[in-house]
Amino acid sequence: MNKIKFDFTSNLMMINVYLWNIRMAKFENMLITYDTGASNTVISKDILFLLGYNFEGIEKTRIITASGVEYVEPIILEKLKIGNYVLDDVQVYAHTFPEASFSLGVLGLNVIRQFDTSILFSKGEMILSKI
Amino acid sequence: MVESIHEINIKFNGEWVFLINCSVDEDGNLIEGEVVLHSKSRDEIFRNMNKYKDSPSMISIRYAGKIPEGVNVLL
Repeated sequence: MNKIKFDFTSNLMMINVYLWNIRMAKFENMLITYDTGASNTVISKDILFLLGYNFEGIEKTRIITASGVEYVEPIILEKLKIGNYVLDDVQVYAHTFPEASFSLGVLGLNVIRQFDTSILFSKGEMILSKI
Repeated sequence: MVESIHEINIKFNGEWVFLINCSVDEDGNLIEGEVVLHSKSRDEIFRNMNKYKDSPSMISIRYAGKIPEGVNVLL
């Protein structure tokens, strides 16, 4: 069981995740949006590029967002860490978020549903247990 | 200079920050880091972050502080 703090700012739940840097073989930290309304996890393409992920030859796939249809590259993130839990080979979509957005990604249900989660809004904490 | 995330959020409220030398607590929460880039423009951080891509320490990129009043977000 892990107790994770989240930033609850302007009605957005932002949580720390750690993405595997394949070039340097270490985790890097990003603050992304926790979104049970998203079926998949989406990460900024610029960040994934910095971490050594390659998009050459990857065919884009379609996702439906609140503002329309977007085309994104599916890639496999070697490791994704939340708290002290490490998930291997997580599919994420690479997307260029608009500059006006406040997040570098969205943690979607493909990851969220792997944990039993209690959200304590009064404390700004989430308690996670891997299912 | 390594500072706590709380201090960074206050000092750089409303800016994007790029941190090196980050550390976490026993639950994996980010607790501190050293700000090496900061800007109100996220893309300016993106343009300059490559110079730190070989940093041996943990890096972090985040929007610091609070989202401005009156701004609403739908993802």
